Amino acid sequence: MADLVKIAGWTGQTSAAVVFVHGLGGHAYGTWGHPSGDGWYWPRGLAERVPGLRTYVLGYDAPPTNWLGTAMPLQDRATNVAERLLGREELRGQPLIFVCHSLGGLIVKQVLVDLHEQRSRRPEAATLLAQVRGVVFVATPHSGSRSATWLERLRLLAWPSAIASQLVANDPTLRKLNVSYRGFADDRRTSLRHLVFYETQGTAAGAIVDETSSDPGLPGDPPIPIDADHVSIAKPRDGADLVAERVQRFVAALALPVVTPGDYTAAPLPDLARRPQFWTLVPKLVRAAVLLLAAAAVAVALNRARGVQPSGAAATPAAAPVVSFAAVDGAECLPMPAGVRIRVTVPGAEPQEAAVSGCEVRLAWALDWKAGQLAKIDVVGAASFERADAAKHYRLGDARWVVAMRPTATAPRLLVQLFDYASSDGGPEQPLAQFQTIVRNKIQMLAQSIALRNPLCAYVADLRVERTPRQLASSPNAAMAEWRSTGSLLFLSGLLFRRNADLMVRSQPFFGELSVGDVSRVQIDLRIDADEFSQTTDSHSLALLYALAMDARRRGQPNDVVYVFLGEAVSIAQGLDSTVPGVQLLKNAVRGALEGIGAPVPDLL
Amino acid sequence: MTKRPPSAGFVAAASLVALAILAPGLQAQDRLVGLLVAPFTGPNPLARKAATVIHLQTWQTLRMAAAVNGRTLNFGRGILQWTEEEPPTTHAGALALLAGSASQMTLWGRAQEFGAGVVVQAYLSVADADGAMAPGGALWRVTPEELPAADRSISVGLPTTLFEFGPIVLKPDVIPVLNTQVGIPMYRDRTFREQIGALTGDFVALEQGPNVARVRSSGATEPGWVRLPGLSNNRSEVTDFAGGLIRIFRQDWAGAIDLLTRVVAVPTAPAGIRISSYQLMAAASQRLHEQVGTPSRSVEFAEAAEKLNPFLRETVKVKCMALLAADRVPAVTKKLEDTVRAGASLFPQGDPWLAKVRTVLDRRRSLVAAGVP
Repeated sequence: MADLVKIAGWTGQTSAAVVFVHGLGGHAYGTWGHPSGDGWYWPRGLAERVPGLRTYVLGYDAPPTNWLGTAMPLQDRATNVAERLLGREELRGQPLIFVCHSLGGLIVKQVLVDLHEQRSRRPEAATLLAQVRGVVFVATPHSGSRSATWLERLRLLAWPSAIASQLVANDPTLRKLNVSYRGFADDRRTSLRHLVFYETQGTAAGAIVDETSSDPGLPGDPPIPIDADHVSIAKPRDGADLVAERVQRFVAALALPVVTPGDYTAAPLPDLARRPQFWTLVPKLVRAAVLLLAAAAVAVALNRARGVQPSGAAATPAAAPVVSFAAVDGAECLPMPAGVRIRVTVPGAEPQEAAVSGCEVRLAWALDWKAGQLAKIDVVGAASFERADAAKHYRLGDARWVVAMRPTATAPRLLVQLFDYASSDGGPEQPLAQFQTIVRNKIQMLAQSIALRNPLCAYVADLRVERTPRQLASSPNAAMAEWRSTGSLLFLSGLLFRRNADLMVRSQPFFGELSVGDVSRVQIDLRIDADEFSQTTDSHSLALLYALAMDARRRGQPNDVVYVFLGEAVSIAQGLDSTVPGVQLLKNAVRGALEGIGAPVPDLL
Repeated sequence: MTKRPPSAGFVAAASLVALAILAPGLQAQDRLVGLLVAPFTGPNPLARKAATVIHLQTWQTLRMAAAVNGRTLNFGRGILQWTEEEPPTTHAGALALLAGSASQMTLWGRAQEFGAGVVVQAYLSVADADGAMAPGGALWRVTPEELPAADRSISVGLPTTLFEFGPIVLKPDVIPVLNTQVGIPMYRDRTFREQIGALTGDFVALEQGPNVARVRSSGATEPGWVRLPGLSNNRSEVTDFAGGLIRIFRQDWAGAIDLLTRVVAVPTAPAGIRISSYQLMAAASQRLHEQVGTPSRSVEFAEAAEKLNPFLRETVKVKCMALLAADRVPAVTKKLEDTVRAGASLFPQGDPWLAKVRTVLDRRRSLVAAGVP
């Protein structure tokens, strides 16, 4: 059962209540510093610095592995915590703010999403929800943790707890929670604020939550990097520590003004230690015994295998490998354009060619390849990409050969990636599919049209629009790394949500290094409605034309080529309603691009 | 409604429609200008019927305008054809449909559901890119005497070969009408009391009236009248522009200006279509001036296009053409110089077309310096 323990407060009026929620393997008290030592203890220090503030810590069982105890799944724990919060009378009637470390952030997100769903049938849920004014995420793995992934991969030995198993990187439960929470936060965008911190140092076990995962992808201030590891980030040294100082300002801004706060008091800390239950040792002993037996069986098998292998035998024919293409600093699967082939040269054999499909080629030639030999690979027909490791040879016998590629600096970027748009309430999917089809058709027609009219821009006819069946990384840095490595021109991602009775789509074009100024902040909000068809297609056309123009400039193309795209953009911009959120920023970007090539810009934009 | 699979021959069916009325020409020329309309892609039968309605509405524009055309001109024949081939989804596919047909243009498109409504997006693909059907092999040609006789011609063709129209948002009340499996009802006469069948499959348009057409269809035993519903609450430029382009190819310059004037007045028409319309009007006005002596409004139309977007190379070209064709007075030459100076950066380095215009300007300057009026 979750425990909610008051740590400190004031004897007079209450300005706000802050609940500290620890993470996986954490402790209600110990996660935040040293409550009994001489050091600064965050929940106390924060209350002391904000008049009228009460602070609480939430304790619950969250062992990373079943060897150390048991833990409820995330959703059950959230329900458990919600009931604990709803049952505490003293939390009512004041702003409520959560400070969450790691997994604690996911639990609080699930609590708030659950309360949001219950608000129409449970008045107390609506009341509590209305009180929540802020959430601080400290190293929360919004899209999971690679450490948890490793824990899961080693599950035979590590025996991860139920809640730890859900922290696997890109776990569908976390993705769904992320989307639901974004929708909830969007509904509450005027009354709910967020503050996000992320670790930049590794623990002895390595980095626990990376920058990408710690970004919840919410509007507002960007996540703040902290010189700390996953554990120490939640233990500020004193009130001047960046995390403590920013949280104090955040809380003070959300707290009610108080006239008579009274005196600061620190509450005694009850003992939260659980009494050991010896019968829980039984499954652990059984599992340990099974593991020992299994290890013994493997050892025997290995010894036997060694016994039949003649020493000094000639290398055996190797199985044909799978050749896969990867980005230098990004995607492990980098799809190649249509028509790309590889030529593989093995000593003593004729070179062989094979067509690449997506990011892989499965070699299936009946060759007498000898393990240990080195093969040479040439990539043919990939004008927009080049080998990042041109001199590298590949060893026969390896099951997979990974060929690192990078976009050719002078090649035009001709791929528009349509990522999955998030949906704030899990659906409906059909309008989103219609929207994406319309945008794709429009972009393809526009590319055809430009290529037809302008021989110098005929290369645009090769522009492709591809669906990428996942969401774009919410971290700008991760998105930029992907943009660089994929050779894409433009990423389109966004969110489907409801505004009053209207179904809306928020489209966020990502221009990578092509963006100048405010265009990186463009978010186009459009109603999914036939009457908005023109605005929908034209606003995305404008984004595409801007990207094509800036890409032409990047590649040092003459101004007349850049003008082709910007001239087309000027025509399209005239039909666009500047009051649609995001449109004026796009028009300004086109204006800026025109000014950038010395064009006198008339008052058309 | 019956749908035939694609046949071996390219344009299957077709209905040769209306022969636009021949002007009282003295010399008969067999110039045939055709527009092929393909069924739109999208949810059927709605997409197909929307294309049918647009087909018949465009056919109505074939009526010859009562305009200032010369009485001795022959405009040839204008036809609309309907194809039962697989609907195209690209410009190249639309042009491929023209092979073996009598048409030079394909009107094609798609109907798309968006939210609770349906939007029709139409395109016009033209095979005759440089207007080669016009006498002299170009839409508009000038021959400035400042250029050497051997290379005196400066010309422009069509602004583009792929025109994209503004989306037509179907009226809510017309969607159920188009979305029934039954074809468009055909009636015995224009009182629309007695239904005799439905317009399905191939059809031939025979006669027209305001928002009505008389057709022969495989879905009825005899010809009958159909009502042509207004598709959208807003005016669409599709039929007027397609009709205007047919008239351009038929060299019915006055008629083209008449229809294209309606296009530029459509507030929801894309700027690109309005610019193209002004460019075509500039060419038509000059051609009309040359044929029958009416005052040319080319410069006015070209400047209207320029005002909409000065950053298009074609806009600059058309304005240059209008100024080159205008009387050679100092004010016009000055305007031509300004146009070339302002628009030069839109052209590739050493562009031969612009180089010719510059040669004209250089020659005029040297003549002025030499005191030649």
